[in-house]
Amino acid sequence: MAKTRADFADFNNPDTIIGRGVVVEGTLQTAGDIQINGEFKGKLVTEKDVVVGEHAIVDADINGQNVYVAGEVRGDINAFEKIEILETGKVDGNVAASALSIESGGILKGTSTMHEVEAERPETEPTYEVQEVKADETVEPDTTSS
Amino acid sequence: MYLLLVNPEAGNKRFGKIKTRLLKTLERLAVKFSLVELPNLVDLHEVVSAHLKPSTTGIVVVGGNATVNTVINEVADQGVPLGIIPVGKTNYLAHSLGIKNWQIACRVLADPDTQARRLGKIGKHYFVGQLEILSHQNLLGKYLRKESFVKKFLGTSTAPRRTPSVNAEIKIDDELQIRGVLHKLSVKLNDERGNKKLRLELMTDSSKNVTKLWGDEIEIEGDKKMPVLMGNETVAHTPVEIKGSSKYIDLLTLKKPVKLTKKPKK
Repeated sequence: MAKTRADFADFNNPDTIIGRGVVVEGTLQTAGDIQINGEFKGKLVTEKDVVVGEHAIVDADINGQNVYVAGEVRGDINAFEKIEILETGKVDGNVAASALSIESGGILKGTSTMHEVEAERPETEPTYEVQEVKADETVEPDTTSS
Repeated sequence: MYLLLVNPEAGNKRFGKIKTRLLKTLERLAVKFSLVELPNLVDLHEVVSAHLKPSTTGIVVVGGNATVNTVINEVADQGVPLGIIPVGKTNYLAHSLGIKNWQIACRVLADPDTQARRLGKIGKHYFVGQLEILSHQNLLGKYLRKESFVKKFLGTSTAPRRTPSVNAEIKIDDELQIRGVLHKLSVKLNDERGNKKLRLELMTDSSKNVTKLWGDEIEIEGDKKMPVLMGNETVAHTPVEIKGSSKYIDLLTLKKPVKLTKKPKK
């Protein structure tokens, strides 16, 4: 389910936050959620989600599981699952994800690539089971079933 | 047998005032100890080397924040548990362990539990728990904000002026560089085993606007000098380098929370 604007105010208490008025430069690599409300330049890598807040300016390539953009991103975004560009969001770069959504008002200046998702195979019940038979034993035919 | 290191100067020479009662209480609780007075903390290394024996079960600091911090730096490499009898004006670490006064501390020594706490390093010194860095203006502002009751009553008190903050530059692990207006910064040690990361929380204009980051080494400097506080005590000034360490110190703590009640007067 898509996150609403209200969800961005308190995004599951993220491990890493860059607040408004703060400028961070460099490589930010973490295993938890990242929320950016200030400015970031460099490279951003996480195993979890990234939220670019409404007033945030990100001049970096982003790698994450899900990436939600409500601010400005100048760089490529690579999401393992989903990228959402909200109505105030602006991405100036190429995006790659398994799913992409752009709200009305949201801007994407770049190419989009969709990751291929392996089709789920339906699970099937075995129609018969093979019984182990010892060499000197004979298997009696099952006469109870008709 | 405990080695009691006493700072007789701590808390306006408070030890002198409680000495008799303290020693009697320890005797009543059958706590075995040897006591060394340390009027000069500079001699600490020599004193500990001379009095630390294989039979010593713990080093106990009798003093305030400053004495505890100095002793932690000495004891960190000794592998001996550390106890605290708080007699100074402030004792942040003792309070964080639930040891609010010397009476509770005596009970701890009689029936101790140990708690391993991660050590951090600020410059060349060790610390435990959390550090706070505030702009000078904020500290001064606390005093300036104390307005007179008469002014308040007459309604002539002025609204507190917004204190200017410090432009700070913070480096984390040589990978991240942070620039911002610093109002308050806290650095907390991660107590999770095997993870020496420090948690950094930077507040700019308001407490709602927080920046949270993690790192092993943090360098902080500002366009003005800022005090680094542990509890209420200033332990350093910026520019400063704070490191997470993989070292632990065993602290003597309470087995159960104790509530002391006053005896009713006859």
